[in-house]
Formats: sequence, structure tokens, C-alpha cells
Amino acid sequence: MWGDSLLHTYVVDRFTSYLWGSFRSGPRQADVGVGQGSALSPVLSAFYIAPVMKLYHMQAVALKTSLLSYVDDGTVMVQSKSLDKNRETLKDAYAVLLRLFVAIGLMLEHSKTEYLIFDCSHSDYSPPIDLGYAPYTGENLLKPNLYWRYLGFYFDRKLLFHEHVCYYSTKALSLVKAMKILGSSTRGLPPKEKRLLYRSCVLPIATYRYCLWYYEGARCKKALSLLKIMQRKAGLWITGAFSTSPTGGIEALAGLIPVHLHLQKMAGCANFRAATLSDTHPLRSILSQNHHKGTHPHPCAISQMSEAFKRKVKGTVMEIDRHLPELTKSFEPVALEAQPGA
Amino acid sequence: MDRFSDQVIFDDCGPLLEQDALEARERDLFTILRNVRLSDNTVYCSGDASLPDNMQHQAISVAILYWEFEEFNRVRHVASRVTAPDAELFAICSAITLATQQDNCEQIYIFTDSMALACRAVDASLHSDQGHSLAVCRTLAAWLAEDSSCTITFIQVPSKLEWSIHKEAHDYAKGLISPAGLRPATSLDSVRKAVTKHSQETWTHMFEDPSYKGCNFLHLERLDGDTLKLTYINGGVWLSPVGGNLSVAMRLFRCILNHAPIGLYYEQFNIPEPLTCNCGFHCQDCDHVLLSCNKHKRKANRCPHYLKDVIDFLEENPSVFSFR
Repeated sequence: MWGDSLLHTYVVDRFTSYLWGSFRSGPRQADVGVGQGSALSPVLSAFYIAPVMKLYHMQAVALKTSLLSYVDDGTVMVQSKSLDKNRETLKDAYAVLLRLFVAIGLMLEHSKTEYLIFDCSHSDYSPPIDLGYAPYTGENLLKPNLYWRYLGFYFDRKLLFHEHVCYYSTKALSLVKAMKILGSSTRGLPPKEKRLLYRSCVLPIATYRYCLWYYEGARCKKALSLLKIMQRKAGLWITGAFSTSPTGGIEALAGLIPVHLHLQKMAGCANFRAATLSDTHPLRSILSQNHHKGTHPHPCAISQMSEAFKRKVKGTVMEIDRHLPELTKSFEPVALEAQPGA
Repeated sequence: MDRFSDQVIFDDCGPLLEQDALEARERDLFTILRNVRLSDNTVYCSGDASLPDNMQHQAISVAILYWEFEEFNRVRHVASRVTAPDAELFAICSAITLATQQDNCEQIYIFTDSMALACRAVDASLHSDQGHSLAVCRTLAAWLAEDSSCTITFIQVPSKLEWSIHKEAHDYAKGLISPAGLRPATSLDSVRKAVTKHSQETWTHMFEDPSYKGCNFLHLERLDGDTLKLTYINGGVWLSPVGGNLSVAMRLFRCILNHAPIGLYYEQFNIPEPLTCNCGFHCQDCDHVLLSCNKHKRKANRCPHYLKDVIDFLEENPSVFSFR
């Protein structure tokens, strides 16, 4: 019963008004749909999409695809040795998905469909898809994107994340430049506050999701040089030094550790966080045998790799797996004693 | 543990900086100790830890237990390669476990030098040394549930006091030196600390290279004679003493980097500005300004060794290293 009244308050008797410059329209009734950013919308969409996903897995077993969904953002993934074959599979999968969504009374916006190829070979071959639905049909085919933004990450074709680093270091650099209005070498904020501002507002943006591209053996020289330029600019602003001053001296005076060492420190500390994850955390299923605990090993898990293959693979997960045995303590994130009233 | 919140008591004295406050605390502690000794069915313990000053040895945790006027048990554990809070927590943990095993024990008093760790000992949520906290919570929950008149009290002893039974635990911990072994046990904080230390050392090593820091970087010392060490904590050694004063900070940084509006700099970078000093000296460089220029007031005619000297000099002469 309470669910009924809860829905009622969310959906019924909502009004919306439009604003154009100084003109404001009168309130219009908006009883259809939930508000943008409403807390209810992810729950409702999960209620609707879960049966679709279940039916899809039953109907599309032969296609060997995997379906992910984040609120209303669905992703179909296909893996095979040939791009042309992938294209056909994707088209079939999309048709099945659309049929299911229409049957349950939902719509897919064809124009918002995106298509991306992940391929580590050197070829540039990227076949467009004839989706079979407007606007991607006949002459106007759906072409693969160069990169894809998902949950704030920028995925590129070879998964090198150059685009990602570029985007975030440029963002940080423009922030540093904008901060110059807050103080110069003669007036404005004192250096301590400038440094605090940089450490708390700029550096976290510049190093956002550094785990994607920073790990031992990663080729990230270009990425690091972008960040170094950014930090030098910030250091000049904090210390008020001349632009001819050496970077090392500026960083020491401003109390800023060089960016690559900062990343090294954060990555090293973050490796051990995996020990504090609960026994059923998905990350545990891709680590090696000792760390699986309550999870089933994933087909691509480290425990399923041969020794020779393990040596070839680089990445954050491999780092975690290698460094985790250094920590001898074990943790219970959901200990009975930590529950209220226990 | 939250069911027994009224049976777990913390006697916190906060940070005591004044000498008077410390003495008052010492008197209080002796009163508490006398009362505890005279009361029945009471166990009181003091715990402490000692940390080695090198990587070859390991930390030691100690707990000494007393009943009335006599000591009845003392334990000394090796805590392996952990941080100081972890080792202290281990000491508190062993004190509590042993005290609860004593027959007819109804009151437990624990003398420790850190209240934060006493709170952490009875907190079973996720932290660096959760294992010991879980052990404490399990033992205490069973012991406190038996009788509602049982209580446990944590009493803070400022380690500066070197107070009677706490001093004894401290000395007992210092008495053992144990090698760390090949594969020492670690805690979450200690592995993180090792990572941070490694980054810090790499930075210090990098800083020794003149092409990185600049070949004219002015080396100064702290007042106690140590050279200034690189750090990023609290803004670093150079920024923290002048961080609030914009004018002095900017001039100090220019002076240390030797990239300042002085004659030598104008000459190096081909800037059409006069090279001579205001006092008439032909080449105005950093040493001349700091040491011998007669236009500026200075306290002593010696080479500036200390960062404090330079800051005082800049504060006294607002025109030094500023634009003409």
C-alpha cells in the first residue's frame, strides 16, 4: 500500500514551466514520466529492464553476446575473430532486443545508438552497420565512433585511453588557468590557500580514473608529460616564481610531489584496497585462486591463465594480484560485531 | 558493542600542552590508581608498544596486569612490521583478553597513552588492524553480557609524563629487540606507509640532481642544524612558515630559485634593465643582496644558513627582491 502512495507523490500533480530569457511560461501539468534526476527513475527502469534482460538471455543464446545495462543505458557486446561476423551478430541482437522492448511497451531511440570497435591490430578496417531502422538504414549507415564516453571514461579503439588522459589533463589545465583570477604574485590568495585549492580541486580531476592507464609497464610517457605541464603551471601560480624557473625547484617550494610519483603512490596504496572488499565482490572473481573466496572464477580470471600468459598481461588487476600477498592481515568488511546492536 | 556503551568508559584528558595541566593530570592519575588498588575484584593493566628505528627489527607490544597492589601477569609480543597505532592496539587487545580471563574480575582499568586507539579497539568496523578489534569485541561482548555491573575503563596517560606503571610497560617493551625475519607480517597501514615512503625517497633522490632542481637552488638549514627535507605534508618545509604572507613568500621563493628581479638575472636572460645594484655595486647577485649590500638592514653579517634568517631579513626589508 505504501508503495502506491509513494508512487503517487512522485508521479501525480507535478507541474513544469519553461524559461526563455526573462519570459516564464505558466505551469503545465506533467503527469507522464518521472522528473529528470529523480531518485525513482533508476529503480523503475530496473523493474522494467530486468525481465527484458532475462528474456534476451533465453532467446539469444545462439548469438553468444553479453548484455550490460546501467540504468537506461544498455550495451551489447560481441567478441569474435572477424569484424564482419560481429556486425551481423550485432544486427541480429539489436533486432531481438528491439522486439522484446516493444513487446513490453518500451521504446528504443535508434538515433542514440552508438557503435564502437575494439581492435588491437594495426588495421583501420571499420565496417559500418546497416541497423535496419531509421535513421541508420540504406545510405546512412551507422559508423563506428573513434571513442566512446561511458561513466566518465573515454574508451578508444585500442584501449590505450589517450583520449581519456587528454580530456582530463586539458580540463585540469584550463582550471589552473582560470584560477589565476583568484590571485597573482602581488595580491589575492596567499600561497598556502592556492596550494590547498590546487591539491583539492585540480589534482583529483587530472588523475580521475588513473587506474585505467597508469600501472607498471604502461606506456604513458605522453600522458605524464601533459600532467607535468599542468603541474608546472600550477606551481608557478602558487609560488609566483618566474616562468624561467626550474620545475624541480618550483615543485619542492610549493610542496607538490611530481605527478608520476603521486600516481605511483596512489596506485600502490589502491592495490591493497582489494583486501578490504567483501567476499562476494565481483573484482574477486577475476583475481587468482587465493583471492576468489566466495565468488566463482570468471572465464578470463587470472587463476585461469597459464604462467607464460600471465607474464605477458599488464594492467591494474595484475598489479593488485601481485602486490596483495604483501599484506598479511585479512579483513571482514561485513563483520557481525560491526552491525548495530550486535 | 553499542549495546554496552554505558559499560565502556573513556577517561580522556585531551592534548595537554601546558606544564600545569600535565602536573594536574599526574595528580589525578595517582588518585585514580589509589582508588583502583583499594577496590575489590578489579584488574588494572597498562599497555605500551615500542617501535624499532630501523627496518631490520620489529615492533614490540607489551601488557602488564595488576591485581590490588601486585602484578600478576606480564606479556610481551612481537607485533612484526606494523605502524605504531597497530602495535599499541595489539597491546590493548592482549591486556583485555588476559584481564577478562581472570576469575572474579568485575572492573577493568586500562592505562594507555592514546584515546583514539582505545576507541578503535572497541570499533569492529573496517580499519587497518580490524582483526584485533574483532577479537576485543568478541571477548568484551561475552564478558560484559554476563553481568551488567561489569565495566571497563580506558584512562589516558600522556606519554610525556613517564608515569609509574605506564613507564614500566614502556621500559619492558624497550627491553626486547627482535629481528624482523624474512617475511614479516604487515598491516594495511604499514604497507601503505611503505609505498608512500618509496615515493618520497624517489623524489628526494630526484631532487639531488641539479638539472631537476636548478643549479642555483639556495640550500638552507633548519634552526636545529638539519638540512631542509623535501616533503609534501602540510605544504612542505618552505611553504609552511611563510604560507600566509604573500609578499614575503613570493620574494623568498624567487630568492631561493635565484630567478629574481636582480641584475644577474637580467644579464642572464638579456633583459634591458640596469645590472648594477642601488648601492653602486657593479653586479647585483643573490649573495650580494643577502650579505653585503649596505642599503638593507640585517642583524648579523654572516652567510644565511637558516631559513628563519632569510625570512627575517625579507620581513625587515620589504623592497628586497621586489620589482623596482
